[in-house]
Amino acid sequence: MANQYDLVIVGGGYSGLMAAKTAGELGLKTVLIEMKNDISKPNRVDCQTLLPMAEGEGYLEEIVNLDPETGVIKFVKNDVSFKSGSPYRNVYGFELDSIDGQTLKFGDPKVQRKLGDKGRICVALDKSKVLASLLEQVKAAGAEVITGTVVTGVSKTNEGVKLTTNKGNDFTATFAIAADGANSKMTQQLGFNKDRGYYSSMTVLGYYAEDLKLPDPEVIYYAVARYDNAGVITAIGPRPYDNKNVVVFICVDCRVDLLKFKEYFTKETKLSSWFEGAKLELVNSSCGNMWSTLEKPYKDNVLLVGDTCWCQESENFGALLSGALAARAVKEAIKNNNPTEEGIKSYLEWWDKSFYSNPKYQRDQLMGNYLLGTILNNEEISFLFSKLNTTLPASIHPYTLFAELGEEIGKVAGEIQEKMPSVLAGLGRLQQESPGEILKDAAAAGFPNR
Amino acid sequence: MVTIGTKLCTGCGGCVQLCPVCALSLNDNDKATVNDKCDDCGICIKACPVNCIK
Repeated sequence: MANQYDLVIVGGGYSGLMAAKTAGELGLKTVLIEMKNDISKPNRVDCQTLLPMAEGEGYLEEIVNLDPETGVIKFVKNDVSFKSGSPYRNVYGFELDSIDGQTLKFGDPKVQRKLGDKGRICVALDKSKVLASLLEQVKAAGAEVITGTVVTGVSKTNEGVKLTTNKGNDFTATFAIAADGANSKMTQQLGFNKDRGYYSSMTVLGYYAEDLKLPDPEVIYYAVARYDNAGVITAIGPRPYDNKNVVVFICVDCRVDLLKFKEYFTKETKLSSWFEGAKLELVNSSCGNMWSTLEKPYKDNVLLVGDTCWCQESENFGALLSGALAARAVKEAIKNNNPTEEGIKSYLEWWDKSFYSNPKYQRDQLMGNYLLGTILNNEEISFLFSKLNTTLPASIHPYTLFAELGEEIGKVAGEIQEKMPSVLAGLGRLQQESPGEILKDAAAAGFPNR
Repeated sequence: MVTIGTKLCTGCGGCVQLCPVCALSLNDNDKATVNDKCDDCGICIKACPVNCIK
């Protein structure tokens, strides 16, 4: 006999926990199933920030507030909030770096810091603490949580949806929410991946660092490199504690040995001076498929949220918001006795209006930073950054950043064409080719779970 | 059947999700573990970022 619920949620990251908290608070009989035993252990330590949050900058037609006294994070327009349970630290700038030390700054941290909270571009949080806090709120809301269990199958039933697990216990519910991330088994089993755009498979190593010697501790650095013919990003951001940072190595080609790259980057590049005397501890790794965004994140009484339905985001904004709004839509459908696509349409309308059909978000631009190291070699990256010696507006907006960068490049295109034309030829590929075409060699070596 | 070096495993669960025959799961210590459904397709070996699956 299966366990019967209003809602079963697969995955206990930001989006799944937010969905479970919301559903529990709305009185739905809810269960969340997570493959890990310890939900507070983050899978991806690169995602420890909430962004974008620059003054006046919205995202997904939303604005986010953080109450410094209570730690409550609130999405104002949709009236979605939760207790972060974490200390936080303001981030005052974003910087792209070449491995020989050329920089391109988005915001001057000295200027931004003087503005206080109004000058921040995002906040750094302790993801373990946020996950633990969300879990507490889920339990307080009366939702059930089952850990150490892998969902292995999903099928439609007359009454809704049925899930099977590796432990042999089945769950039936009126609706399910798939919150199992970029490699979502739910998305795969529902057939979404069969004809979905696949960019490549990404691997990530995440370290916690102490005593780094950074130019400014409250800046997020993205060092862009070409290594073994692939683009590798080293992302460094603050943790909300003195002298502590996150260092993440990310590669869009799974053939690259990131453990070797880490040795190279921290010992042999010009930026290795940042790492002298520092302590690095490997805290996690991850691998994930980069799929194109889904037009409609719904099928057969399953709503998709977070990374299951769009290209991996690292800002957490969309995961939290989509989880809450999907759960709300399920409540409406059940309340109106209409457990159908029509019943949950408020979620699909939000998805389409705020994101999918929103002209502000050219989704392929999200890939821009990952592609630089693929389309340009280290010498070209260095040359490009050296020519852009202006400070761009303070921001870490995942979609608008590269549009701004494109405008700046346009201003110095003549000089670049004269001195190193291969840079413009490489950049031109971003306009002429899709990310899938640019990454086709890496994709051929990847592991798409179609 | 693949073997997993649990000392290196960070418990990210990528292999668990990507395994086409659901042969992988996480043990009580959140380390990857494999059962006899494994058909040696090798996807988990390619996917593991810390090279702990052979």
